[in-house]
Amino acid sequence: MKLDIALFAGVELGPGTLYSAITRLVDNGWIEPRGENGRQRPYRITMEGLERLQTQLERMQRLARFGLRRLRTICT
Amino acid sequence: MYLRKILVRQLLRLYPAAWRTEYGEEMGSMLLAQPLTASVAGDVFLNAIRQNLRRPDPWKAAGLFLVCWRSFWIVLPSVFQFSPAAWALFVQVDRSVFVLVAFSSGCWTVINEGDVWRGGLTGWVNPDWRPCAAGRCGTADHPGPGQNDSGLDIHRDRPLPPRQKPGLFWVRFCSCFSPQNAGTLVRSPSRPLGENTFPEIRRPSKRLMAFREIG
Repeated sequence: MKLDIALFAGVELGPGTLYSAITRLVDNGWIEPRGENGRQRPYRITMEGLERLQTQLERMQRLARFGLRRLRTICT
Repeated sequence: MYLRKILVRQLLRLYPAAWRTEYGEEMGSMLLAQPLTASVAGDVFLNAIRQNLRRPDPWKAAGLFLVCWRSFWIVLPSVFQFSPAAWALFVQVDRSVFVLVAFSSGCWTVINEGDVWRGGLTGWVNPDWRPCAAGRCGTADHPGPGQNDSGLDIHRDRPLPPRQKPGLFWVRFCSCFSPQNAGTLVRSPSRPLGENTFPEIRRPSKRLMAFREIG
C-alpha cells in the first residue's frame, strides 16, 4: 500500500501516518476492511467513500483548471 | 531482531488499547518489515499521541481529567483566599468527584472493553475508595486508616494492611493527585507553610517530630 501511494502520489508515508489515515477513513465509513489475508488486511472503498472521492477529485480538477488558466493569463 | 521486536511492541503500546486490537498486528508486521529508523519511530510516536487524543482509553481520560481538576485547585488558592468553610466544602466535592470519576471510569472499562484488571485498577486509584469499600471510611475529624502515625487502624486497633502499590505509571501518577495525598501538594494560603491544609490530614513528618522532641 505504501509503495502504491509513493508511486501515484509521490509521497512516502510513515506507518503511523498511514494507519492514522486508514483509521480516519474507516471511522468515516469511506473504506471498510475486507477480511483477513494473513497478517495483512485489505480494505475496500464503500459507496459513500466513492461519492466522497468523486466530489473531492472534481473539486481538485476544478481547482487545477482554474489555477492553470490563471497561470496562463499571468504568463501571457 | 529480538530488540527490534521489543521496540516495535513498545511503540505499539503507546496507542490506545482499542486501536491496538484493531490495527496493532498489521502495523506491527509493517514495522518489522522495514528498517526502524528514528524518523519512522518519531512518526509512530506522534501518531500515537494523535490517536490517544482522538480516542483515549477511558482510564487515561479519567486520569487526565483528575490531573486537570487537581491542578486547577492548586492554582486557584494562589489567586483567591478561601475561608475554612469553603475549603471544607471543597474537600467534600473533591472526594465525590474523585470517587465518581474513578468508579465510572472503572465500570466503563470493565463493561465496554472487558478489561477487568485495568478497570479494577482504575477504581483502585482513589485511596478514599479503598477504606469505603472495606467499610472503614475516615471522617474530617477522625482520620481514616493509614493516616495515623501509630500504624494502627484507629477504628479497630489492629495493624493496617500494607498499602497496595499499583504497577501502572498512570495509576501511580493519578494517585499522587488524589485527595489523600493532596496535603503534600496543596497548601492553604491562610495557614503557614509546614502545617497541613486539610483538617483530616494530621500526619507530621518524621523530621518535624524529631524537631519537636528535641525542642
